Amino acid sequence: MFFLRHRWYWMAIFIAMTAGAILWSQRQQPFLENASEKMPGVVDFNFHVRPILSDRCFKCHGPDASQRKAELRLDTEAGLYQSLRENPGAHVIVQGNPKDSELYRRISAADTSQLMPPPNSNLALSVYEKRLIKKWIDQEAKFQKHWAFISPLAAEPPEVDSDWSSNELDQFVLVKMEEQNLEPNGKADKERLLKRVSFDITGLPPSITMQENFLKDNSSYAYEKVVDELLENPHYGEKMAIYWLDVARYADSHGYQDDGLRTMWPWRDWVIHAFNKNYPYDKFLTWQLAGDLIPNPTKEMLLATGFNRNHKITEEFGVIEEEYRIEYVSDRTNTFGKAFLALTLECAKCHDHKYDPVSQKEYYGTFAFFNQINDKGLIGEFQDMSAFPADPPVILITNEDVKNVLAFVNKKDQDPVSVMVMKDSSAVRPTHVLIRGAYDVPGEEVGFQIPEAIYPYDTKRLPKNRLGLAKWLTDKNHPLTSRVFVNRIWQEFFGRGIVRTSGDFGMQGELPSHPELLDWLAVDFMNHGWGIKRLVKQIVMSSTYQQSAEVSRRKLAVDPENKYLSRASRVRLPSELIKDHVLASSGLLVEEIGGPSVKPYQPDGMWEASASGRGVLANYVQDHGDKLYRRGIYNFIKRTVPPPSMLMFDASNRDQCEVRRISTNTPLQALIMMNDPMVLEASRVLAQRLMLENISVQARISKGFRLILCRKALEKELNSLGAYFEDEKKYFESELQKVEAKLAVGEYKQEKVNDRAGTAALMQVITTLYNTDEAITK
Amino acid sequence: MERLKKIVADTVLVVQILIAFILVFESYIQVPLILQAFGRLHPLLLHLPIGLLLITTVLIFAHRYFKGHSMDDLISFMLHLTAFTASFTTLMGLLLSLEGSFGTEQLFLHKWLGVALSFLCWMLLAVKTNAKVLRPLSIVGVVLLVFTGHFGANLTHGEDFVLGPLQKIEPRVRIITDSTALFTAAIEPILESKCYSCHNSSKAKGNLILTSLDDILEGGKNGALWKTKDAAHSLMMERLSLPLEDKEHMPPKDKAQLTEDEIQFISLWIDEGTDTNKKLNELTEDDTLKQLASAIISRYETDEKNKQLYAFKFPSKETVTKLNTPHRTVFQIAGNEPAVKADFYLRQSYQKKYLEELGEVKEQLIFLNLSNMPVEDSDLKTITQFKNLEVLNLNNTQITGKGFQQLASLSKLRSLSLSGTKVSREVLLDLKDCKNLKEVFLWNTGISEEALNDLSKELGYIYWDFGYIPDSEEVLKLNVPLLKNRTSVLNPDEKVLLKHNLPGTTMRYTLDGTDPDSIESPVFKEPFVIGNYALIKTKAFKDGWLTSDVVEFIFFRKGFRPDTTVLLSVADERFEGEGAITLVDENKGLPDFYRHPAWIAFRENDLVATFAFERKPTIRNVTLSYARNPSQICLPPAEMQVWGGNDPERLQLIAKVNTPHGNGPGTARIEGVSMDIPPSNFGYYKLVAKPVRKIPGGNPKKRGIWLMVDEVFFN
Amino acid sequence: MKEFIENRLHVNRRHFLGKVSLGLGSVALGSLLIPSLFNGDEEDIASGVGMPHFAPKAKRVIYLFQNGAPSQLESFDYKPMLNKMHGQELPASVRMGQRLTGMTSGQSKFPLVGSHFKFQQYGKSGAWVSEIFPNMAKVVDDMCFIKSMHTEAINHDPALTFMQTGAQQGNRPSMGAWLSYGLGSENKNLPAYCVLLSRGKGNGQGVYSKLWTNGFLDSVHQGVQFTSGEEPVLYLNDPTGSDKVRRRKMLDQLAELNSISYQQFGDPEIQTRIQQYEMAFRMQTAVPELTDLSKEPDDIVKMYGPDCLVPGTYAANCLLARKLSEAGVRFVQLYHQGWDQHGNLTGEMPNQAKDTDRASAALIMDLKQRGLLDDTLVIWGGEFGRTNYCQGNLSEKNYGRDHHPRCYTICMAGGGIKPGITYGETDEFGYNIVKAPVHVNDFHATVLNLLGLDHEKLIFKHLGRRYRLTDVAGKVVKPIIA
Repeated sequence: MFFLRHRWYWMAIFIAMTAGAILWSQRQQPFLENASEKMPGVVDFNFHVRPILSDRCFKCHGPDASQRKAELRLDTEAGLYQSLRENPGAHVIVQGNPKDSELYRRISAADTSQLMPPPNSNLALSVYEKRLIKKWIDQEAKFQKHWAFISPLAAEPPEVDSDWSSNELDQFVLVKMEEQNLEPNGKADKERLLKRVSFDITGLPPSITMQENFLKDNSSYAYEKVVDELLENPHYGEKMAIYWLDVARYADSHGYQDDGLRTMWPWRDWVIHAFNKNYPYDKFLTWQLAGDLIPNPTKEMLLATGFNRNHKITEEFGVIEEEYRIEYVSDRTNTFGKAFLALTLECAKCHDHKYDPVSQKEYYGTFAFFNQINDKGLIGEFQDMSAFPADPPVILITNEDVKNVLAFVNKKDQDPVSVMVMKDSSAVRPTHVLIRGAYDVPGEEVGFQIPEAIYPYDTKRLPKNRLGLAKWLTDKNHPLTSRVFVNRIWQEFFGRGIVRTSGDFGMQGELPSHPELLDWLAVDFMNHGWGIKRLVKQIVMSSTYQQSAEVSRRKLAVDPENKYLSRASRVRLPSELIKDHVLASSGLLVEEIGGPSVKPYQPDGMWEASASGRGVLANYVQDHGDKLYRRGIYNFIKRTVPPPSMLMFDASNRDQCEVRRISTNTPLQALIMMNDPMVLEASRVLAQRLMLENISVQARISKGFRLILCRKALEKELNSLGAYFEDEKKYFESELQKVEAKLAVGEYKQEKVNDRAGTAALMQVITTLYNTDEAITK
Repeated sequence: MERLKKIVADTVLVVQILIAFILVFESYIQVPLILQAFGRLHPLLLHLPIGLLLITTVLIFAHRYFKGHSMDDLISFMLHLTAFTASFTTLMGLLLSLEGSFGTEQLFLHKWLGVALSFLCWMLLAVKTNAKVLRPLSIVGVVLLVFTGHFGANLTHGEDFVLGPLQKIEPRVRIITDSTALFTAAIEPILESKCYSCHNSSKAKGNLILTSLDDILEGGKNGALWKTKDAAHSLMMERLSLPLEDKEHMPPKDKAQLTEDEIQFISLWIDEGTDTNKKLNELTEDDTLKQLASAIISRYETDEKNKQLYAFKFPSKETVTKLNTPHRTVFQIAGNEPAVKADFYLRQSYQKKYLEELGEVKEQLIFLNLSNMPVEDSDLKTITQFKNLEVLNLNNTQITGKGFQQLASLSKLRSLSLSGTKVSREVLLDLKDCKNLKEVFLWNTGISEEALNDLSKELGYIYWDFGYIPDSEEVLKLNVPLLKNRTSVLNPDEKVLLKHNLPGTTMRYTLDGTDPDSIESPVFKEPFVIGNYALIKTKAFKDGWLTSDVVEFIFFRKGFRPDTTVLLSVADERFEGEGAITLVDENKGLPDFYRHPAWIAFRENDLVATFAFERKPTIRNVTLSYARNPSQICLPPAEMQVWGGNDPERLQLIAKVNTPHGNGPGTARIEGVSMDIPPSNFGYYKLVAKPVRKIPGGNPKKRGIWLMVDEVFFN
Repeated sequence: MKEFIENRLHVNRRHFLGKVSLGLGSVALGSLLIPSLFNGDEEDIASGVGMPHFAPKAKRVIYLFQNGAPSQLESFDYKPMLNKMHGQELPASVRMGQRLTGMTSGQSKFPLVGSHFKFQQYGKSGAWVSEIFPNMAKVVDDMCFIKSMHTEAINHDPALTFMQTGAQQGNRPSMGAWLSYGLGSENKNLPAYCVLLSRGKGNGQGVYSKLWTNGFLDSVHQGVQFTSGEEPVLYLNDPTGSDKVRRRKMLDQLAELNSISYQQFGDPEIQTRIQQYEMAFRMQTAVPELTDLSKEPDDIVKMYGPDCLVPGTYAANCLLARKLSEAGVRFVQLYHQGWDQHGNLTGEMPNQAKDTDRASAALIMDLKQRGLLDDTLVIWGGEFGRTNYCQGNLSEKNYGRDHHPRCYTICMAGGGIKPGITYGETDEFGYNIVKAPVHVNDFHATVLNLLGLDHEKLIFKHLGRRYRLTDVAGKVVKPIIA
């Protein structure tokens, strides 16, 4: 044929090959469009296949025996390779042979009556998912135990040739980054870094002196020095307590209708104390779960068990007590599952768990541990004005105790405070499976037991009570306890857990973005005596943490969620810290630690409109004086009407255990920052203070700027603010009566300033600063 | 020319190799974005080779009728073009297929046929102009082309796209209630979704039509579908239950099959006597037939929902997103409906052009809400372009109805809201040509009742809603006046401000505790001043209304704040408040909630406290604020004394009052004992207040009476 | 083909997010138009969140919740038999082991009580209404009475929570939140879900923000509580000594500062923040307009009754509710407390009725005369029923009724509901349902259906589980849909 002689021929071959090569090379790079569709070289059961099976198949072919169709279960090794009921010849999976594997045949069937999942289930698999499963079977369809139930083993931190990483954490992180063709951001500038670490550890902004010193200090230890100071600062306890209160569903009222007062705040004081004293996590956990069962427990240990009494309690006259008592025990059980195991145990209350290996029987086995206390279902309505309702068992904390054993309890008046605690009754109360979870339909009796698949409960070694439970949890080989905790701390600092679903490590949860890192941290944490401060320091000392927050369009495109930590995430402050920041930066903050909750400014009629009209919390009686300027963590939380501004900033309503707050960005938040008297008063007070200082307008603005944004202002920022100030000043000079009105805000004492209009203008500038995105972003 | 041909030929070769390469490494290749775009041009480009190949083939066969070499050249040129376009089209096609969106066997066939075709085209080049080979090859090419094209079309337009229209069946919307026949409720949907496609009037395979009951009973060429009460020997059941492989099996292997329960249901239904009228509610809950039926019904009703009501084409996402502004929301009424609704908000910022911009969805717009917008008659013109408009809301607009005739062009207009506009009877008559108009809302328009009556006479087919007409007989009682002051403690020069939201009401008030009357009592005109303590009773009056109830407000006056306060007596340990400061902390309590630091209580002991004023202001009045709450037995002090002097050790009594406690209101409230004292400016004042020890005639068993105090004012 | 389509949606969605995350396109709008875009759940797209699944009958809901459970036997479920057997014992055959609350479990006798109030038939539909609801009686031909509602809870808190969130316990999103999530907001200057509270004179039970919570949904969907005070929406009013012009200037200044940091950080959240401030600014104009009741014509005041001018009353809330839905608020939730008549029923119930009857009827008429009733669904009802026997001692003038989950009556009007009908039926003792029971889940399914949502497709995946308002049950009550 003619062309073979032709010189173009070789050329052609060449071009074709290069073109091919180009396409080939594309394999590696991720694209916005089809990153998720990228077929992995080796299909991993845990990471690729189980999520699909769990999400689309387990509902009918999973752990739940009652729902199981065709005696087929795909959540166990046996199940996956078993032969079919109706046709014993065929098998669910024939390793290496998709075509003969019933599983693949069914998901890829064209015939709708054959197709799985059934079309009307709305659970159809995508082409990509089908391909994945096919490939997995091609590759011998290897089964693995669910990753979270395998005890963590610390892998050696990977070698990375880069001077970027400053500790093991970075090595793990960097490797993943490189896999994604990402490179770490540069170090954050000193000021922003200081702000970040200060908020992360103490929840308070760095004072100007702190900023100055840090900027001056050029030693290589400067940062570490600051970190150590911050960790010793007693406000560290408050900051760490915030999220633990969410976990423990702490509140100052009973919840449900009437929603009367309870006094659990001494327990809150204890949590703060525990963090400050750096109690190891295993001790922290054991005391709260089982302090009362430790041989001759101290009063402090008893107080700690308040953790399990923070759930809601009804005061509704005429309820059926048992119905509610059961509800409380379930709450403890579910909280136990979510807080320490990151498992959704509650799903097994009415039937076997649909996705995770937790049978209903096992649920009530766990339930049994928390079913041994003699609490009432109903707290009587205490019309008598003297005592507060507290549902026994309780401890009374007297001033005597405060002098001696419980020095950390910030008690103000003379009368003893009653705190609800745990205390098992002498006789073991039998526990039954409750059919469909209904309190009045008991099924078979169950003993103490824990979901086997998680980690066996050695009944020989461990007592059958909550203390045993605590020992079980804190066992070195327990697959979850340590992982769950380090993950949550990680989440507190990076805004996103290594396992994003920090509340669900089960089959339906997301997979860890850095599994090796998670395991390494977990093991390292246990090996170093569960030291929390140490863990925190590890994190903040890492280069990963110290990166700048700038994000290039490419990074945004490739990794919008910052899953691979190639930059610092810009996270909005939690509601408590917003209050703290505003008060601290304006100099209003009362730094007192602990004590009863306070009732700051709140829009009129919130409680009155919703309350039943009964009980001591029917009306909101705002506090005055110092109580207006306490940290956000001390805000009084009435469960049925939590502080509105906190809810709008995504705080938990403390209805049940929460381990992760969503972070939203809404117009109502804007309204709060613009019009909340708390913010306005702070602006006023700060303005007056600055006016009293004998410095130039410029200096005042830039000082305010520094207090609120924790950095020196840029030239252009100062200029534009200066102009704004002048404009406002002109306005107020023309409208003097407005000045009075504007400055009248807040109960804090008014400073005598001659230049009233100037003060008002400066106040306006400061409010504006508080409203910037940067001010409330760490 | 030759040179050009060569280049083309070689490019084609390159592409061919490339194609081969891709076919081999398919599963490893990720397509870069740019190439994806390139790939998506496939549907566009493919038309070229189709055309070219056909023409070329014709030329090849028509060759002999033309003379000269130019023809050969032409053919070869055409061949080059064909091969060129064909190979590129195929390349694009492959890239497109790599996006992995299409997983059907259709694609498989289309792909390989396409590849074959492009290869063939290249072959045509290779063999040059050799008629013997060319002819058969080109024929093969055309054949290939047809099939490739067919499967391709199936991919984009869906299978049976071509034959579709022939077998189109009107989707019938079934409303299923308890009284629906089993047959309609459960069997028809099965047939519709799994049999109609082959057994309908236009495409009756085996002469069997299942789309209507008569035809069903008619049966097909193999006879009747079922033997009543004998499913086992019914043709239908037989066909359904044959093994899938059997070619007699229905529905055919490659078509959607009936599910277990559907088959079971049909056979049961046959056994139960094929009663086509049997209704759902004639069956008991535990009847298997019923259970199967409900399962099937629920299965198909979800599909029912997705039946589309509007035929016109969907608006583009971009358009809709673009049209949405703070002033105007434009929504598709549902995910599966192209129809669009539009609402307007924020009167102040309304602009004519906002309405005009809706032209972009003028076909889809069926619902338009302009209420409260400054829309005028001139805008009707814009509105008439929305041909499919069904509901038009013009409440509280500037519309007067001039030009309502135009609305006749809105043939679908069903509902028209004109409440609060200035429309007249005349213009409304112009609506007579709106053939579809069902309802018109006219509340709060100036229209008289008789006008309405003849409207309903002349245009009876329209429902004219006149709205609420107040019953002149009925006279209502006014609500009480409202108070605008935020607290009961007034600042030194603060005035009392009453308010009533109903325009034209007069408010009368008294300060002496008597109920206001409609003659003497002063009328509230503007904020007024009160003394150091006042009980205000007020009432609202308006013609045509019953006068309101009496409402009372109690006021204290914020005065001089003592610099130091000392409590000389011991408060009840249950209500200590915050000690002496409680009396002057300007913190008022609530009338019925005493467990709060605002309150301090005395029962066994008197209240005795001294107040020091460094600046020695002139004091004319001392007011004690206490709670009266008979149910909790909190009463005013039996006696109150004020002492004064400049030496705390030697104070003398300057005033004293006994308060009648007896019959106050039953409800809890905060009152005051206000004592005017001879103007004095001492450094020290002492207050003594004695709780009531026992109520005359009161129950002696009671443990005494509270004196519940929250504040003391000096003026 | 299905895969093909899903994949399409996928791509489009990623495009959109892509854009957004590059700071283009107004996110504030986006989030309200298609709220789900920011929860990034596959289901959202599958279930086409942000748009009805099929053509809706109703576009908005006004739920007049009668908190405390008004007695069906003194309102709409007429049982002459009870008057005949007044004072006689409830036959055990009827009670069939229904559990009792702690309040009557001690009681030894269960004497039946007939309604103290007279009943009469009204309208073309001839619906029975008691004399204490004279105004609602006038609009019966627009209403549909469901007399066969039943629930599982027997105490207020769980029952209320059940009605509002579809679950007795736990922190689930409420109905309004689901709708806001499923349909987005019609008016981008107002929240999609508003809550109005009022207190009756009767025995109150309290309401809780949990009832209008967004649960695990984005807090954009949280019910926004309107207050009767000076400030209809929390923190809405500009501080004293400021005005619109100054506020505008501040926002511009703010935007300038924010964009400076956007230039440095390129974080789209900053853009979003700017958008949110703009929307807040618009709310500040939109809301006061709505809540200003003083401009209403006299006729309206007569219609709703003069109380409608007193902020915080049920009447005022009804009027406000109309204005809100007229302005495109998806879900307006009213709660009126005080319907818990365990005792002194004859004393308290007429007052409760007096507070609510006129305004409830007015609301329906008012919507109708503006042509809004067609696509606005109005719901009136409580959390459960009340017993047909007396609680406490039965005097000839007075009595009380305990909680009764087995049957109760709610009414609906407009929004695609068949007008002038009665659905379901209780036995002659008004104790058990004898025809067409409607479970709370069914009720929810039906409401969603009227709004064009398939209750089985409106899903949100949270902690690995797919949640629905109707949990795992619920059947649409087709016969009441027009």
